[in-house]
Amino acid sequence: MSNQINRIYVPVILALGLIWAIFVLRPAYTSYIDTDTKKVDLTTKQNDMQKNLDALISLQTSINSSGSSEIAEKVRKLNQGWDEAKIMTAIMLSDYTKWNDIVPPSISISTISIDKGKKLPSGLSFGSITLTLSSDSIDNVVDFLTYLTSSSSYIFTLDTIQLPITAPAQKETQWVTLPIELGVYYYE
Amino acid sequence: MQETSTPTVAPISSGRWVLYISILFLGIIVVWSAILFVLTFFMDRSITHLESEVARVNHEIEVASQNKDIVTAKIIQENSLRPTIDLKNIVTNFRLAAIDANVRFDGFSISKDTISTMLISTEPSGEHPDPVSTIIAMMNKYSSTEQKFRLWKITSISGDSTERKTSIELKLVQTLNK
Repeated sequence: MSNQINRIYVPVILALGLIWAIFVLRPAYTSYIDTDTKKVDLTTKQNDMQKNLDALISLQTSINSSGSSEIAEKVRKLNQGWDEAKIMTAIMLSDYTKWNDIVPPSISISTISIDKGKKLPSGLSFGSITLTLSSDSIDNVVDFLTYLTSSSSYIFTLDTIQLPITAPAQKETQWVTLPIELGVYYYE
Repeated sequence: MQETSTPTVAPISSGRWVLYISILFLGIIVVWSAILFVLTFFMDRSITHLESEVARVNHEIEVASQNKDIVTAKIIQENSLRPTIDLKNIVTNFRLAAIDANVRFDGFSISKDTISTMLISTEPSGEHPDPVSTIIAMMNKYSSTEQKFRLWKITSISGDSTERKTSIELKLVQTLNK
C-alpha cells in the first residue's frame, strides 16, 4: 500500500520541483543576477560621479579662495572675455605707457591693432595684437614686454620677437622703434 | 538464563527514502527561490536609493558645470596654454653669457626656445692673435660644461684677424615657464 502511494507522490513531487525550478527559481535567479549587475554598475557610476563632483567642488574652492592661486588668477584674466577697451587699457595705460603728471612714459605706442582671432579647439579663444612701440631704452621694452606677459590683466603671449639687443649692453641711450606681435588668450 | 532482546528499528523502505529525498529537493528549490526573491527585493530598494543619489550628484555636477569659472578652470587644467617667455630673465642671461665668453652679441631674435644672434669676437684668447680663438674657447666651454644656454653647433666663421663673426643659435635650458 505504502509503495503504491510512493509510486504516485514521488513523480508528482519531482515534476512539481522541476516545474518550480524552471518557472520560478530560474527567473528568480536571472532577476537576482541582473539586479546585482545593475547595482554594481550604479555603484561604480555613483563613485565616478562623486569623484567628478568632488573635483569640481575642490576646483571651485581653489578659485574662490581668498589667496590668489595661479589657477584663480588665470581664470580671472581669461573670464574678462574679449573687451577691446580693457585690452587697450592693459597695454596702453599701463605704468610703462601712461603719462604720470608731466613725466612722459618710458614706452610710447604709436599704433595698435587688435584682432579678436578665433576660438581654439580647447574652448578658449586666441586673439592677436600688433603694435608699434618706441622707447629710449631697449631695457624699457624688455621690462614692458615682461610685464605684459607676466603681470598684466590679460594672458598675453610672446612667442617670436626680434630686438636690437647687443651684449654686453651698450651704455649710450638708444632710441628704438619696434613692431611687436602679441597673442592674447580669453574665454567667452 | 534470560536473553536480552535489543529493540529493533523498523527499516525504512527504499520507496519512502525516495519520497523524502523528493520532498527535500522540492523544499530546497522553494527555499532557494524565496531567498532569491528576498535578496532581489532588498537590492531593488538599494538600487532605487542609488538611482536617486546618482540623479542628485548628476544635477549638482550640471549646476557646477554651468559656472563660467569652473568651465574656464577645467579648460586650463585639461589644456596647456602656449608657454610664454620670461624675457627679462633671458635677456639678462644672454648679456651675462657674452661677458662670460668675452664676445659681443649683436641682435636678439627669439622663437620658441631658441635665440638667434650674431656673435662678434675682437679679442683673442690666449697667445694666438686671431680672435677666432675666443670663439673656439667658447665652443669648448659650452660643449664641456653646463651653461644657461646650449650653444648650437658653429660650422662657419667669417672675418679676419681683427674681427670674427658668426651667426649662432642659443637654445634655452629650463628658462621657459608656462
